[in-house]
Amino acid sequence: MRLVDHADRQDRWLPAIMLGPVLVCILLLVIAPLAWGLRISLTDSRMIGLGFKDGLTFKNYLSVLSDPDTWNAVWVTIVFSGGTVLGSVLLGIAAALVLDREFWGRGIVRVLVILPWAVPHVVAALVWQWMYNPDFGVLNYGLLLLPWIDATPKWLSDPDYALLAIVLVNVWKTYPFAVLLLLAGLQTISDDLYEASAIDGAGPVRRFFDITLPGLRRVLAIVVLLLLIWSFGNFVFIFLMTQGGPAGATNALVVHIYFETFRFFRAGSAFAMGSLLLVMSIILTSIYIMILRSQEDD
Amino acid sequence: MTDSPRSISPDTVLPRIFKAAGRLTAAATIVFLCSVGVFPFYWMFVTSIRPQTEIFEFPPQILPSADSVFEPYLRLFDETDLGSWLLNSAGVSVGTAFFACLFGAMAAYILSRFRFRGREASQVVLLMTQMFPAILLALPMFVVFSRLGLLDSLFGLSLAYLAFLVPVAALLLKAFFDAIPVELEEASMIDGASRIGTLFRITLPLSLPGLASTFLFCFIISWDEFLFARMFIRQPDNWTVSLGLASFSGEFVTPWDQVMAAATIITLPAAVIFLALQRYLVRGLTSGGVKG
Repeated sequence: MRLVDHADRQDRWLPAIMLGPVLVCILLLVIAPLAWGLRISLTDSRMIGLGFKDGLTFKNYLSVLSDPDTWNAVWVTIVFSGGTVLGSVLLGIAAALVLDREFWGRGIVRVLVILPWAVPHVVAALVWQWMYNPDFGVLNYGLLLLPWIDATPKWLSDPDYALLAIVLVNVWKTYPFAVLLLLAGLQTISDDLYEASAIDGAGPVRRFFDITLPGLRRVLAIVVLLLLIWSFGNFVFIFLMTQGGPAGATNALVVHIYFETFRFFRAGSAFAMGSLLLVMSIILTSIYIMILRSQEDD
Repeated sequence: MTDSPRSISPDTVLPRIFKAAGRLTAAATIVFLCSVGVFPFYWMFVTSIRPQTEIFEFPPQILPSADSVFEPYLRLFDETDLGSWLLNSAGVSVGTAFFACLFGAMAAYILSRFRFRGREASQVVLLMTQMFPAILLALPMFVVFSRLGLLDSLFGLSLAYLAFLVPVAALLLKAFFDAIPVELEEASMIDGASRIGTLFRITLPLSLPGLASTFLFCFIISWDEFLFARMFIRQPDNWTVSLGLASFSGEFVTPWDQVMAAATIITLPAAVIFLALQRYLVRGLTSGGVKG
C-alpha cells in the first residue's frame, strides 16, 4: 500500500468530498429521522408535525406497553417472522440439496425455482389474493380435488387462517433467496468429507446430519437472521391482503404503526412502538454483523 | 470387480434401492418446487386473457379459455393510467439508480483505496442503515418532506429511495473496486496521470460490469418499492406501478382480468432483470458479506 499512503497525504481533500454524499444521506435521511422519531415518541403529539410544545414524557411508552393491541402486534410479528424463517429454511434446504445434484435440465429448474423471488411484491400480493379468493379461488378448487378434504377455509377473511395464508405467501416469495445462499454454502463443503464418510459406511441421512448441516451452519445463521430482519419490516403483504385484519389476526407491528399514525392519528404512541421495533432490529442486526465479521476471520 | 452387475445379494441391492428412492424423492421435490414456483405466474397470465364472463366461475378452468382475449390489455391502457404509472416508475427508478451509482461509486472508491481511521466502522454503519424496517425511516421522513414540500413529488420519492440505496450501492461497488488490482492504477499514476484521471481512465471502465449490475439492482428495488410510495404520493398523476396496481385491490368488485394483465406487464421488466442478476443479487442483499 505504498502508493495508497502517499496518495492519502497528497489528496487529503478527496476522501471528504467523495464521501460527502453518502454521509449526507446517512445523516439526513437515516440517523436524523431515527433520532427525530425517538424524540417524538417522548411527546404528547397526536398529529405528526414538526414542533414539540410539551416537555419529555414517558406516557406513550407506558400506554403502549400496557395496551394488549401492542402485545398482539408483537406476537403476530413473531409468528409471521418465525413462520417465514421456518418455512423458507426447510423448503430452502430441500431445494438446495436437490439442485446441488447433477441432472438434465438443472439450469431451467433453477430458474423456475427462483422465479417467485423475481416478482414485485405488489404483484405477488394481488396474485395470491386472487388465488386465495374464497368463492372463485383456484387454491380452494385444488384443495377440494383432494379426496379427504370437503370443506375449505376462507383464508384471508378467516381469523384462524389469515396469518397462515400470509406466511405462506411470504415463504413462497423469500425461500428462493435461502436456496441461492444455501447452494453457495453447499459448494464450500469439501467432497472429501463425503467420501470419507461413505467409506465409513454412513448412510445419506447420517451424512446430512454429520457433514452437510454442520457445514452449512454459518450460511444458515445468515439466512435466518436476514429473513427475520426482512420479515420484521414487511409491510406490503399484510397491508394489501388483509389490512391487519380480520380482528387483528395479522396486525403485525409495522402495519399497526402505520395505522396508528394515519388512521388514528396517535403519532406519539406510533413512534413509541417504532422504538420497540428499532430495538428488536438493532439486536438482530448486531448479531448479523457479528456473524459476518466472524466469517471474515476464518 | 468379480461380481456380475446382476448378482442379487443384500449388499448390492440395498444401496440400489436407496439410490432409486433418493432419485424418486429428488424428482418429486423438483416437480413440486417447480409447480409451486410457476403456477402463480401461469394463473396470473391465464386470468389476464380470460373473457370477463368466465372469470367468476367455480370451478375455475385450469386451461386457458377457448375464447382467450387480449382485450383486457387494451382496456388497461384505455381505462387506466397504466402508461403514466409505467413512465413514472421508469423515471423514478432510472433517476434513483443513476444517483445511487454515482454517489455510491464515489464513496466506494474511497473505502476501497484509502486507509483512514473509521474506515471499518463506516462500512458497518453502511450495512446497518439498510437493516432498519423501512417504516422507521418513512414516518419521520414523511413529516420532514411535508414541511419541505417534497411530498407528492416523484423527486421527493427518489430522494427517499436514495436514503437506502446509496449505502447499498457503495458497499456493492466497493467489492468491485477491491477486485481491480491497485497496480493498474499505480502504473497509470507513475505515468503522470492524476488520481481523478486514473479513476476515469482505468478504474471506472474496468468496473463497468459492476456499475451496470449495481444500477440494475437499484432499478428493481425502486420499481418494486411500495411503502414509501404509498405514504409520500397522493395524486393519481404521480402514481408508480406499485401504487397503480395496488389501487385495484380496494375496489368493490375487483376486475381481476385487468389486475392480472397489469401485473403481467409490471412483472416482465423486473423478472427479466432479476433473473439476469440472480447470482449477483445474493451479494447485493447481503452486501458483500457472504462469499459465494
